[in-house]
Amino acid sequence: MNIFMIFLESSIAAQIIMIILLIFSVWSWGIFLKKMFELGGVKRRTKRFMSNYNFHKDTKEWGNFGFQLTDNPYGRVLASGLDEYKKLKVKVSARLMNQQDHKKERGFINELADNVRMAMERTKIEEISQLEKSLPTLSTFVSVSPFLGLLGTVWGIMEAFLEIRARGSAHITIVAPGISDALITTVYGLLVAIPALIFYNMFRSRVNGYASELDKFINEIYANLRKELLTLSQ
Amino acid sequence: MNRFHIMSVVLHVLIFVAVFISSRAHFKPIPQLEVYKVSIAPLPQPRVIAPEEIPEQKEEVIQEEIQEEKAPPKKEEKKLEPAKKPVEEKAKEVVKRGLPDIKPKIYTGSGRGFTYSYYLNILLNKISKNWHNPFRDQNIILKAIVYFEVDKNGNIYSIRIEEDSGNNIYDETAMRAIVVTKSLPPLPDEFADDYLKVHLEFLTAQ
Repeated sequence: MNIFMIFLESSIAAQIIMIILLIFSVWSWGIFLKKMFELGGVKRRTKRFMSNYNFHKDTKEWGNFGFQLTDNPYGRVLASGLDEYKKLKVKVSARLMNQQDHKKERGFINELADNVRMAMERTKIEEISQLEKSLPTLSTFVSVSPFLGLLGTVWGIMEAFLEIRARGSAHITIVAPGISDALITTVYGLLVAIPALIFYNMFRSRVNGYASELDKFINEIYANLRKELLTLSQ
Repeated sequence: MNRFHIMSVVLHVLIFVAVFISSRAHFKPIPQLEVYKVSIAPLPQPRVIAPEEIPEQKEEVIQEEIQEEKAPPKKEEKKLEPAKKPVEEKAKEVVKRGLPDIKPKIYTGSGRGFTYSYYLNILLNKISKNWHNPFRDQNIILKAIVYFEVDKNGNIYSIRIEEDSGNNIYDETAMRAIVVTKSLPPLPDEFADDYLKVHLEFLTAQ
């Protein structure tokens, strides 16, 4: 008796449940491979960007990172912050041209500097949602698969009892097919749910890690750009 | 479907192939064994006495049946006593022929016949399993009749010695066989009466 024979000898209900579980399994492993590839690439590019960034802490050099500003979440967050900073710089410079006492404009500059933070926060949210993509599907498989297996179990047991009632006998040859269907669907349900749960937790913790790292990075960038804007008023 | 899902499909196919091959590798064909056809011998049937064989005794049994419905059990015992000797001789013959040493006389509550031989087989089988005859291998002729009733659910009650063998130990073992049996399968659904009267003979002879 092998897995194909078990499948072929099962009832229609059990076969349908097993096919659905197989689709879930293929899908969840597809998501796993995709996310591994995506997050692996993000990790590699981020590492390269951060090593570059750590050597160039001067805000004036940040604009020269080139493609590294677009190929990873940190770079894109920095790029959005820099774009906003450049816009503000033009606005603040124009305002300071018309003002004699530049120190009075510090409050205005502080308010505008928040725009830099907000721009970076926006980009961060977009990046995190991009990294989180497909995780809700994985979560659905985690919760639905055991229930589908359980449905197969209950269905199999129900069929076994119906057979007993119809034939008026509880012989093992009457009960065994229903019980084996019942057990095999539970096994398949768990075989789908357990890896999917492991993948989900693994990716969720990585995305959470990126979210907190990005927050730290945004604070650092914001502090530096704000300082740059305030130097304009001196 | 992107390339990762195609990779996943390939992965699943590989896993299935691996499992299939490993299950085939571990599969050992069941060796071809010789089959011996056997037929199970039927359980002992209740003995039916032909009218030509002992016409006088049959009449007695019918009388006994009628009396049981009306008269108290003490009178029955008195009437049975003269028939004791021929029955013992018969019992000897029965055992020589290899027939079982427990045999029932079944009466229904309404006096109608009880025609369910399979039920009698079960009854005899269960009781004989619980009967440990202390005089099995000895050259003694003993006969005891135990009376009991079986209700619809198969519960046994009203157990009493109807005819003693003269040996207290033997009577006790016969009575104990019924008491230990406690219950039998429910009476057949087609059986109309509420209970079944059983007069069970315990015979020992070498």
